[in-house]
Amino acid sequence: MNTIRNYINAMFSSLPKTPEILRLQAEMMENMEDKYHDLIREGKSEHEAVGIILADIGSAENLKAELGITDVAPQPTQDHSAFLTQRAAFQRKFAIAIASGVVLCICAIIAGAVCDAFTHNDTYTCLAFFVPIAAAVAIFVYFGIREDWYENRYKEIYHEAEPESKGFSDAIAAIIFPLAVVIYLILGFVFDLWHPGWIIFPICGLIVAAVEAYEKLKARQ
Amino acid sequence: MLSSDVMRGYNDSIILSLLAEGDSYGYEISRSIQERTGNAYSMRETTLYSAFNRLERLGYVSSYQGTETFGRKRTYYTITPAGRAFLREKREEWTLLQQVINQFLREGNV
Repeated sequence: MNTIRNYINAMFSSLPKTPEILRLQAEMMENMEDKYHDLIREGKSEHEAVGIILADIGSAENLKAELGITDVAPQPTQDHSAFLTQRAAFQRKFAIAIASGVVLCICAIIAGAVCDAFTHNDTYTCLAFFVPIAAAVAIFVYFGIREDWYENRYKEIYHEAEPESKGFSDAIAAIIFPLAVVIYLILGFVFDLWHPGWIIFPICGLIVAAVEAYEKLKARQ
Repeated sequence: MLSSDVMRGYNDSIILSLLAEGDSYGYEISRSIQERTGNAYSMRETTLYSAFNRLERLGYVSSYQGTETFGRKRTYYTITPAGRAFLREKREEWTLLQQVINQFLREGNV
């Protein structure tokens, strides 16, 4: 009898708990009990009785179909197709923006070096270096935020589960990179250690990549 | 054994016709169906109980709590006038349907 009770409970577990459905569940339970006792009276063994009952009940899918409950994922509609074209257009822009950001960073280094070589003026050199860097950072931040928005919308529409493990490495990256910038600037301005100081960035990149890889490995297990 | 697909349109009529003979409850109805059809059709429990649910919502049956000899409570169903009217309609439809399908599937036609 417990097997039957568990089966019925499991079958109803995916259904909304409306009073109507709860009543249906209770009713099914009472009647299955009757049926069970009848089968035993007819001389069936316990196992046989349970087997017969389970075979006749039907499945959760049957039940949902009979009750007209649908739980299919919403299909992309007109509204979504507009969003998808928007997203595709943005992805092209995003790629261009990231590329120009990188180019700006390279330009900053060249501009700084050139300025230093010709003017020997620290203020000009700093300006020549930091202005393009600031522009690049602005681009990265702006497009990064918009990219996030598009991806979240996309996941909402398609019910894509976010990889749960990402939280930790993201948090680390969010702390470690601004920290690296601060340390780098202090090393540079205070101790004039620009040259070996830059190594902090690849080190941070490696740390974050390692944490991410570790998380992925753990998630797969 | 008839498939549930073929029987889909008739489940409500079968249940109502049994209730027209007297009040009954789930298990008794499913047993009656099996006995009368000589096990040619057995209504799945999920089908039967969701049919009760639907028929009650439509106002074709109403339910009440009765007690059994062992003291356990049990939900009984009774057919309403609206249910009888619906059953009459279905009976007429069935007569017509038989005539129509017979025009095509009568033995000797094939």
